[in-house]
Amino acid sequence: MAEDKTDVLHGSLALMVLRTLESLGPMHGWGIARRIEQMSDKVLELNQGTLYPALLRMEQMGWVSSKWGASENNRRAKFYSITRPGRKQLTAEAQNWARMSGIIARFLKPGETS
Amino acid sequence: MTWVRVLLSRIHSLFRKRQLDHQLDEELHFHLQRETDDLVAKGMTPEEAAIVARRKFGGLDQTKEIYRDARGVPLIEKLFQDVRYGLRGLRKNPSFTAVAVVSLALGIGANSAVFTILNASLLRDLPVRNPKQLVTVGIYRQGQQNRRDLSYPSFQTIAANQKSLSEMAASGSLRLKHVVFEGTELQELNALHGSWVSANYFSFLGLAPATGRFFTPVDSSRVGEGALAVIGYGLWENRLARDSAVLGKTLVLDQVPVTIVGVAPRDFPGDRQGAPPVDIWIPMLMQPRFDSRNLIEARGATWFRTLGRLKSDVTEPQANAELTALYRQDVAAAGAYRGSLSDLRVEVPSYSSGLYPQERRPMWQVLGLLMAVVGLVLLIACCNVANLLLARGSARRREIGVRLAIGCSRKRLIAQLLTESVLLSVLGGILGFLIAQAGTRLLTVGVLPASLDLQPNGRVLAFTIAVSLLVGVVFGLVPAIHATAVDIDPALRSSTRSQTASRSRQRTSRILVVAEIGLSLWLLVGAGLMLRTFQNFSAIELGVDRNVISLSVETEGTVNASQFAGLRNKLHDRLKTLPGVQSVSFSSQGVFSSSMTSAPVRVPGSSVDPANDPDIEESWVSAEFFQTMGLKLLLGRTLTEQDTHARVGVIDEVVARSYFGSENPLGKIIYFPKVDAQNRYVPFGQQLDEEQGFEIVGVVNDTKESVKVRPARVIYMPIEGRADFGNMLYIRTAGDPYRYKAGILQMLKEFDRDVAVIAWDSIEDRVERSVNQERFLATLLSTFGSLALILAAVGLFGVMAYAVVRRTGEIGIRMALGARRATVVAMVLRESLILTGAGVAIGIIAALASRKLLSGFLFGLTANDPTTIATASAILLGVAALAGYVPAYRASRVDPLIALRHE
Repeated sequence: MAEDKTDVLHGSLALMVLRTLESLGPMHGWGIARRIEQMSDKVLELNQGTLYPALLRMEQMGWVSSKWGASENNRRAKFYSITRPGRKQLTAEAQNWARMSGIIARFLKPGETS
Repeated sequence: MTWVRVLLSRIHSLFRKRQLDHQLDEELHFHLQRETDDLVAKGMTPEEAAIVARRKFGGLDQTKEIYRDARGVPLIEKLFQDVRYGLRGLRKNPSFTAVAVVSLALGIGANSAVFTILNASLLRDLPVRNPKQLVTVGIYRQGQQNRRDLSYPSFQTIAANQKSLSEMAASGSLRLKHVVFEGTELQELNALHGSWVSANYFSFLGLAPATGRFFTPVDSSRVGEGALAVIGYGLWENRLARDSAVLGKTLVLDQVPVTIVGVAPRDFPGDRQGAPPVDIWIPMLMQPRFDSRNLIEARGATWFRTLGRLKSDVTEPQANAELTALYRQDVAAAGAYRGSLSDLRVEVPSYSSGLYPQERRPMWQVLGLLMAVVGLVLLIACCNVANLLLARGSARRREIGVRLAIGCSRKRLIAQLLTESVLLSVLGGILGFLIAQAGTRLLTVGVLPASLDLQPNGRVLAFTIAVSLLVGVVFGLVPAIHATAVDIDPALRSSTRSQTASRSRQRTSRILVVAEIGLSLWLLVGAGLMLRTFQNFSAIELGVDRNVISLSVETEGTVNASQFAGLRNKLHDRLKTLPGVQSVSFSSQGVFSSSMTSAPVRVPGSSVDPANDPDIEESWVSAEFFQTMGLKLLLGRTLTEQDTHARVGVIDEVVARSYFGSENPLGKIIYFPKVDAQNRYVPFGQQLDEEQGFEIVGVVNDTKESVKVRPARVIYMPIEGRADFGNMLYIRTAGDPYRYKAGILQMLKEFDRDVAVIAWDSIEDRVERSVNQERFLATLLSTFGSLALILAAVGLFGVMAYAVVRRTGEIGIRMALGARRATVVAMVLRESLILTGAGVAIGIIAALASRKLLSGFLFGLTANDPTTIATASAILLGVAALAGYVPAYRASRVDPLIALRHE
């Protein structure tokens, strides 16, 4: 079950969620899950269930807020949107991520020995 | 600060659980529905789509579980769950719960009670500002234990020059014969207590008056100035009806009028712990107006306690050093001290509790001992409850097996069982706290000073709560570990009475019972030793009749010797008319008065070296004294009415023995020193003046001030010729003096305004007072010893009763095969006696090994006293036999048919 899918790190999941909400506006859980799936070209097969505790934690941290509303097919759904602290967090996380991946990339560059 | 946000949101969600659960369901349902729709749109059948959607989602219930844990506070939720479950379990087993809770209540209550006393007497600070800074200034002489106070001149010099203390103040006790308010006498039998204080006293302590104001140094800056009084809250409330109009009115104290300026706060009884509350405070510079002797200027008069506040950057040794140096300078400057100055030192120990260090030490010893004792009682209670839990654990094997089988972790189960045991101990703690608060006063009435504040404060409460929680874990852990060490398979299949797995449980419970019995024997031995010590002390005779009352009296005005004699005779005859009064006599500086004076004597013809001769106490008595006191005449005669001006004396045995050994002392002369104008003894010259001598005409038995002191060395001489009424009045009554107290006091009040009774005491009271500590220890130790005995008996009963139930089948078979009832009884009884015997043996070894602990408190017997140990063992064996007999009897009533079918 949970073990045979690629584990998504908490931090990067939050980063993806925040980025999704920033670029696409308020969205419900399923929408976010689907977006992440699409963006990762289905390489990253998220255990969709893990998204909800993550959303809860982000809400507790104040990065996202939620509101009940009507979905595109007119059903009641909970919509999440990014907040101002969420944007700040996103910027910080994104920089962090870029720096980190830069370092990793440098390590992995072929032919260069230190 | 995000964690605060998170925590708040989590706690908030605890209260909206149902709603949030519902929302979560809806949200997840929407997700699955949406996914399914999407898949159907891609061409799957609805059934297929639903399955795939669920797969993509992952475990729905796990997600909800994780979600809930992240949403709320799982620790608290689980705790609530466990507490609810535990309470349900306890309600379902009322007898188990009752026994466990009562056992624990007794154990925790005993601890709470002793801690209440400890807290009240040693941990509670005086109700003043920053009590921790308070120190008391005492003077010590090299090689002497007792502390002395400063004289006023030294106090002034030191207070003016020292730098270690931020401020110094003083207080001393003041005896008031009369306290008259608007013509009414408020003083009765010395019930009102006065205190001299320095003018800065109240501001020094940082107190605020209940009403009015306190003195200030401006009120009393010169000797004799400051005719003001601050009165105690008790006096104000009880005698002056809490009337604010008393402010500004006059109080006449021993003929000195003073103006009431304020009332002390309700919770301030004075600065001495255990002393009676102070009713009237007077500025100390007023002293010369109350007494013909001026104690303010006298260097030899040390009549008040000096207090100070230690500066925060000064240590106690630094302050000691500075004040010692100042004191030596002061003494040297005055030139009054003959000894070596380096022998003198000043110490400033803490005075936060209103006790001197030398008073605290013995109290710590007694209360420390009691704390240890109640700790053991609690341990016994814990063993008991642990045993009950073990038995319950094995009855619950199936339940526990099921829970383990369906995936409950052992850690979680232990946590849950511990919650149950903590629940028990908290219930026990609540009940115990109530018992303790009700029982402490009861146990200590007449033993601890009534002024001791036994109200529980936060510290007592915290102690009780901490003990309860700790105890819950202590007695719960072993049974919880045992109960969860279950092989699931047999646990589910076999009946609850299965034998194999419970073997180690049985061993544990037997060890616990043996430990309980051992501990309670140990406590019983301690209690027995203390009881016998108390009896031994109480049996000591003071050498006088126990039905004697001693009254301290004071007379006003000066008249001559014959007028005093006339007054005495008149009073004597009047008192004799009262019912119950058998004999009346007077003395000046008599026995049992606080003011016996002693003198160095010379006894020609005796072999005693005058340099090493202890002083003799002088007592001037009326002729009837010997009869009143019930003194036994051993040689010669007692004093008679005709001895009025004769220079004769009656000595007691100690004096006779020390000067004359086996020789006949009658007719020998004892010489007293002459007295100079300042009332001081003049050293003996070469020639002994006949005027100084007293002829010995009789010998009577020894007397003692209290049971713990050596006999007094007394010579009784006739009071008749002295210009002195006498300060002691002795009355022997027919039977209990208290029955006649009111009548006697009434008569004395009416007799003469100038003869005031200032203290009432009886010989019986004196004996009781002097064995106070022994009574206290004996009462508490026997209470706790009995408690331990009962708990151990209950424990043994429980284990044996359980063993019998467990062996019902076996007993049935034995009886079916022809075992007789007596055999069955013997079999069960033997087992309980083996356990008891083992416990008793361990208890005796423990008692012998720890005999040093108690030996300092004992009198008239040693800590390994065989009678006490044997008695305690016998009591314990008897009670244990009884506790074992009931289950044995029940076993013998087992009907073999039912027992076998039961299997």
